[in-house]
Amino acid sequence: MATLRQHYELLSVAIFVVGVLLITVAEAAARLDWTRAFGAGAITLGAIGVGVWVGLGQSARLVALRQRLAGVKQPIGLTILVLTFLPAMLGLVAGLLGLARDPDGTGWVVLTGALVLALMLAATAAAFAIGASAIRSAGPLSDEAGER
Amino acid sequence: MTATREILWNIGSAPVLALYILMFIPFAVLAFGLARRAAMWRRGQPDESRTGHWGARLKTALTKSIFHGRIIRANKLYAGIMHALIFGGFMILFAGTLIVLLEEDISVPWFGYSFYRGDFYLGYKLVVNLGGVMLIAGVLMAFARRYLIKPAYQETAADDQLVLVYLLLLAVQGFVVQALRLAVEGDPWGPWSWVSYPMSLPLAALSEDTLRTLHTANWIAHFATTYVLLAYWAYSKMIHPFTSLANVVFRRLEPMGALKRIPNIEEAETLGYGKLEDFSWAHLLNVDACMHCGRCLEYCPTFNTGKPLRPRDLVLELASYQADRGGIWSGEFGGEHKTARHRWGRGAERELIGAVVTPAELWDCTTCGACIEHCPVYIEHVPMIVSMRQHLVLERGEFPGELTPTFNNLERFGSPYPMPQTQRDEWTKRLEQPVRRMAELEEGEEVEYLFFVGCLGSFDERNQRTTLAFCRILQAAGVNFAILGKEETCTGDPAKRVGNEYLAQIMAEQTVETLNAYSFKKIVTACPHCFNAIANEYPQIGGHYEVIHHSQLIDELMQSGRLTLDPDSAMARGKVTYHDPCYLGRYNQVYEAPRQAVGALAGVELVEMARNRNRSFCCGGGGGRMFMEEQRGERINQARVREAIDTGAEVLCAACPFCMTMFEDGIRGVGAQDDFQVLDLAEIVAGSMKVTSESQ
Repeated sequence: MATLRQHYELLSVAIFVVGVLLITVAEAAARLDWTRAFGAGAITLGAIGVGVWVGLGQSARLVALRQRLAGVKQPIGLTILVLTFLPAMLGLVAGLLGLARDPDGTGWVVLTGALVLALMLAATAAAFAIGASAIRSAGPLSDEAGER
Repeated sequence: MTATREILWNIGSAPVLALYILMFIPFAVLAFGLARRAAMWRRGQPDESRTGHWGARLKTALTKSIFHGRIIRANKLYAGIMHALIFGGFMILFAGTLIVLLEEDISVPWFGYSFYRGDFYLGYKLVVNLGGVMLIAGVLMAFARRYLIKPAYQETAADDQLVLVYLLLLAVQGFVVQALRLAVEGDPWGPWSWVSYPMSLPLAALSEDTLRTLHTANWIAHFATTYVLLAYWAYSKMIHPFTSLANVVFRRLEPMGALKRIPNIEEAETLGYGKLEDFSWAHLLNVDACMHCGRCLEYCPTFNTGKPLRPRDLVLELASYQADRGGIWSGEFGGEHKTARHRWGRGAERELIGAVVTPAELWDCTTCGACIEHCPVYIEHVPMIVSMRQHLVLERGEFPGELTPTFNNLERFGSPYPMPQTQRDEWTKRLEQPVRRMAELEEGEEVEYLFFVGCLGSFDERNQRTTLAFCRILQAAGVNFAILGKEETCTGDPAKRVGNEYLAQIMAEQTVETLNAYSFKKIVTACPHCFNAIANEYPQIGGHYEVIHHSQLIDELMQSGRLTLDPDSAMARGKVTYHDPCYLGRYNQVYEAPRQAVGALAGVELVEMARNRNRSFCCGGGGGRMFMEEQRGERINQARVREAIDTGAEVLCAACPFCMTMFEDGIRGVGAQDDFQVLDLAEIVAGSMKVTSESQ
């Protein structure tokens, strides 16, 4: 069974590699852009295959990886949070700064835009704070945490 | 000029290439998580009842889950609408992404046909903007609920927060990306993007380089966010769209009141759930389907009286344990919270009952079914609890000491009371007219109703008054009925609910054998527990009968004019409040007949308790609890009696002998015996009849 699983894992990786090649071809040659869908499909299929076949097995390496990841989940989480939130917040702030430069457009539409930008910025900033607090609270499981 | 936009505007080849190649990571991580979960469910025992009837199953999934039929409820409008907005908004945005993919990767390169233009494009923009607004509104409502409204049964952990945070970000990023492009391109049809267009006007005052840089950064961040969510999906509460939907599809189609029978119990290798692998695969799926909403707690008698059992936490404890045993992360963000779902990581080798779930949790359950009734995804808390009780009783011989005499009495006397079978029909001597026994009927004679009296109605002094009152009603109305008399035994319900399946099967088979020996059209009983066992569980062992509750028959007799009522009766006067017995209401959907009967009495004003019908609050006597001491928290029966008194009523109308016993005790417990009383529906109606004697 283990051999069969490894066989399928390898097959999945091969499908993924084919997918990468097809995507690369599509990007390189505009006339061959029809290969992009096949490439995307192959990458997805390969990913699902690898995920499923590794998931159905159980190895010591996997357990060790899981434990290592659990140990660094806070820095990983915070880094991802900053990287994903920062561009949106900059975009919203930029919009509000644009107000000072006398934007074109009907007054009330611009005002509506400013209001939407401000509300979205407030909601996004609050969400960022909540997310950061949530990740910070996700420390390693202490003996007391979750004790009955 | 045709309305459309350039897909992948301002995005070079490198980010696009990276987008597609990196797609591998979230999909592999998602598939890994789903595979591990599927592997865990496959460890469960087979359950053939979960397949077949696919039309009905898919219809339920569509109406109750996808269209939110079980999520949006009259008393759950806020939460229901909130969920519908999040779900609907997300699905619109997901469909919008698929449409773009279809255009860019299939339709144009394969067929040279572009549909993403003109009216379709304008409509698309309108709808996708609406989807974004719905998602943001739903997430903000969810935050408001968690931080401002704060329902007592809701708890917030980091996982809940992160999921909402990222859903909000996803929608905001979408609008920002769109607004930045509009700010540069200045589409004449920009206003069709009715949210991002106004946002684009202040942005347009910035330099094009700035806008383009911000656009690329946001586009990359948007996809990164999608990938983060996708990867996190299987390891957080976001799994619920998969597991909950699967749980609804594979739900039990049998009546809610029918507990599964252990087949071939004499030769069964395991009895009940003693370890996770004893669970049926469907129950393993059940525990992973929980979305932590806490609706199971709202009407739960143990949660509301401060007992250790919280159905949601029990399910999450099992889910965490399953995650440990399956080697999967689950709900790991939020270790500081002392909530059930953060008990994961305690070890896969823990003992199920004792270290994961405590016996106190299992024995506190009244099996009232409020958790099942209100669970949006059909989680079966009670059957799981009873199965774990079965393990304790049948495999370990561990159960509350008070149950020992109950088991002994059931074995020796065929009832929970230490009363000989010969005295089962002693109560009939107090009636003015004789009551026929089935055994006395002439050969081939069939009665209209077999009155199944039940153990409490036969032996318990207080409940005998209900039995007498009901017989007087039947006799006054000229109903052709008979009783089993000395041949009647317990249906096995108390034994079954406390986990003594072996004894329950013996009692049930004995009763079916007795019933099958006679001819009758219907069975009528004043006991909802007998009603439920005979109607819902006996078909499993060849007992197929039409069963009605005495409240239904009384209502029918009153409506057909077969009972003559005294408008000046002193028995029922003023305000009366009716308590829905769990095994009559929630388990068998009999809500209106008792109300109609009481409400039809002259001089009676029927007032409702705050918790009524399927939102009724248990009396505390079900699930064998009537035979056990209530050692933890506030007394359930007293909590319910106080609620009844708060209505201003002087009479609490019961329709169940278990409720009657619990409320008599509860009324004394709260010291209200001088100005508040509990009466069975039959007593109230019999007391209001013109042709009656000293029925009370």
